[in-house]
Amino acid sequence: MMDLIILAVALVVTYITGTQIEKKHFRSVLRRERERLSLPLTSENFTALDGRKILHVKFVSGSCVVGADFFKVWVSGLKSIFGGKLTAYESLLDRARREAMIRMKDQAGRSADMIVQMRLETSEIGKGVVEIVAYGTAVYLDKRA
Amino acid sequence: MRAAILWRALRIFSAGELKGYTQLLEESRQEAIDRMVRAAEKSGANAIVNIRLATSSVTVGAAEVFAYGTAVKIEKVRQ
Repeated sequence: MMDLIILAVALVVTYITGTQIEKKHFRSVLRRERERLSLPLTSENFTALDGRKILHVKFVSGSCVVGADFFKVWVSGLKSIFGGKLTAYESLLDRARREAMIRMKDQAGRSADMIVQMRLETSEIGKGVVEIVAYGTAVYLDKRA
Repeated sequence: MRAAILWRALRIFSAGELKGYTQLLEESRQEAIDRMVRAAEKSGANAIVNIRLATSSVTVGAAEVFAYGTAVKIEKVRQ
């Protein structure tokens, strides 16, 4: 009985804190993504250079490690019995991926003109703990031309 | 059982990003890239292209980070 109460309390608390943290993070991710929209990001080899010359290129990367909270783990465990989409994990990974891409853009800096050959890597480093790395090549163009 | 639940309840503090882990892996990634660069320099290259990064978990709490690429030697063609 005591165990059930602890479980219920843990579920309610982690649900509330989890959704709050997630909402807050999504708001901040959206805001920062909008601020960095002027820097094109592509997984293609090269976008149109319009005859401009490349000054130099730099390897940039950004990463984010996220952990699923107790509520997400519990609900996903229950859901995976029947199969189907695990939306709890989807939003967690989406957040981490976008955060990693923002960090990569930050590493490229304001003077970068584009990031090409972007790659995303996901790896599980523990139970319910996932690391996402975004990396690519920042291109700095000759602006005098 | 109770201890396990309480321990898991403590995980609420980790809801979302685990900053310590991010920093740890960031540092080891830098180390891996540095080693790759050193290996390339040793073989006389002056550039590395097509770099790939990968992380794999070895056991719980231990991860391997590796960086690999193609070391090339670029020379200006005299005309």
